[in-house]
Amino acid sequence: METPDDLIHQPVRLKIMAALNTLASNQWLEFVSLRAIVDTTDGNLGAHLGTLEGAEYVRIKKDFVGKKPRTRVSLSAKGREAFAHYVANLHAILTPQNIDT
Amino acid sequence: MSPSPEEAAAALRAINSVQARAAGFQDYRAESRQLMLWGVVNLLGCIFTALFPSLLLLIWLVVVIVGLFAGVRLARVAQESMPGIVWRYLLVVGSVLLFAALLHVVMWPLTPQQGSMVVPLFVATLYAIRGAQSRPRYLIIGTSLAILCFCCFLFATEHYWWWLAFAWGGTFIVSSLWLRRT
Repeated sequence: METPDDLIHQPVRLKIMAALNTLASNQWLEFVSLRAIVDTTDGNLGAHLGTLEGAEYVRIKKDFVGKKPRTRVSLSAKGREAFAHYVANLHAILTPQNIDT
Repeated sequence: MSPSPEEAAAALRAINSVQARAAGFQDYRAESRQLMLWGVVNLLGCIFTALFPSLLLLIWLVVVIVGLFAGVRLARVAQESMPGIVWRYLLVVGSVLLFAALLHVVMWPLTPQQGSMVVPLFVATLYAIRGAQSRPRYLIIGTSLAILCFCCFLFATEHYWWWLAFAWGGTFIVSSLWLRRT
């Protein structure tokens, strides 16, 4: 049996990936909205997003709305695939034959 | 090291919980902007009607068209992340307006007070249904809107349009602010 992706298994990153996975492939979520959903601080979220971006699991886009800076985040195709794989591994752990062994 | 079954189950529960929270959050955020817009539109419509009752039809024609344009503009902002949202938005608002127009034809003649109850009570019902099916805050918004507008119709014989501005526009604006809170 495979081990679930350690990068995703960290609790805050798991929440980030789960939240972003609810979006369609071309959808972006604002940083402030993600912070509210994940329920963490700016610094903590930024650090974990940096880790996920480094692994190419998320894409980060920075732009301006008028004069106001805006940061948006989206799950990459690689990230979506990794998350699906991670969830499949969790389900595999919970199959009766794996629980018995 | 592979997680234990308990850890795996806990992770799956966390995923479900965050996904439900994310879906609700995005839905409430998008609705909040429209509620604020239509709250202001209805507030202005009622206030102008109170000030110039003889221009009722013209006033509502103007405020609804302005509201519709502003609403489409708001929906367009979300178009990139939610493809097709503008058409769905036009379909929903168009249905509400068509329902109001048809009901006026069927029930004609209506007093301005009777006519003014059609849209808020219909919209309140839609929110209550949506709330009962998925998001509980909509049930509270729909119920509050229906109760306040109906009380206004029954009891606010004097200064009717001012009270309706508070009951209809005010409820939308307060609801919009409430939906922004997570």
